[in-house]
Amino acid sequence: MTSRHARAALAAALPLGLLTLPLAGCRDDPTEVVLVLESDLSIPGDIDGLDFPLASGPFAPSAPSFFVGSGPLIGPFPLSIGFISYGDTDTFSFVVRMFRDAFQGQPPPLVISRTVTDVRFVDQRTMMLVLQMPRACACTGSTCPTPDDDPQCANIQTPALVPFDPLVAPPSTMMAPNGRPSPPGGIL
Amino acid sequence: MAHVSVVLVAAFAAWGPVAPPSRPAPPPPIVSAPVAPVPAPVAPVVSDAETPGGAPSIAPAIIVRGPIDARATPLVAVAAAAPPPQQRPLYKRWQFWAIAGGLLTAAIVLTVAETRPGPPPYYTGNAPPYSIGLP
Repeated sequence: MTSRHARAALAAALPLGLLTLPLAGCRDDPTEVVLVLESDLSIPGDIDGLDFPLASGPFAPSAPSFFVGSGPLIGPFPLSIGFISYGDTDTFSFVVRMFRDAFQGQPPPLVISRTVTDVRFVDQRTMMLVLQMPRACACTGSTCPTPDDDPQCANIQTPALVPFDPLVAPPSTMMAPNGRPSPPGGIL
Repeated sequence: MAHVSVVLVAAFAAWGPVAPPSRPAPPPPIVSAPVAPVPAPVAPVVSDAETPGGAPSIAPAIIVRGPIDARATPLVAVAAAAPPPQQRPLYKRWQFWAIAGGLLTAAIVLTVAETRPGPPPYYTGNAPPYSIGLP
């Protein structure tokens, strides 16, 4: 092959290779925050349901007065839930609420609630937020402790996230096909 | 109906003649035959003698008639057909190497892209709703 041939081959191969290169780099790592709930409450003795009023952005969502959970809790603490960003959301806020007798057909009593605002995704990284739900923050009847009563029950703003640690988070139990969860949802 | 006729006529006119075009007659076969040498035309000789009017006079050309020996006359040489241009081998063409290089590069890139390990799967928790997607 002469040098002219080599140049021609290179001239044809280079654009083709450049065109196909984006295909090789189109796979991104997931952007996710895993919420790990730890508590000294018992399941199902103290609680058997939880819900997550959620909103994009740094402000707390308005929590409905009724239970909006999707299924009974199984197993002991720690509990975990993954919050996955599909690219347009940089930050989110949520209220985690735990109920007793959540699936008895009547409005369940609220046991404990905590609000976390301005949780920030880290692009293409799986981060972890460990949130304590101590019995000390549990409500008594319709009265729940305020931050003045116990600082550990206060709302959390812009929490510090740590890299995902499989030794802290319980094993992932429900993997969707292709490693992707169900389509975006759950925004209130 | 008249409009349709006009349209049809225009369409036929645009289509062209229906009958196949007449093919040109094949060229007559080349026959090499002895050709007698044609005497070169003799240019009229202009004499220096002037006509009474002052213009130079043109003397008549002398044409000699005689027998022609066809055997002695040379034949018209028929040029041999030119040999077909020599075909260059495929591997010596730059187009071959360009296409081969492009295909090879594409195959390598696609192979790397398809065999690259995918991203780690999303983590789904152990409590309902397990995972929540944000747009």
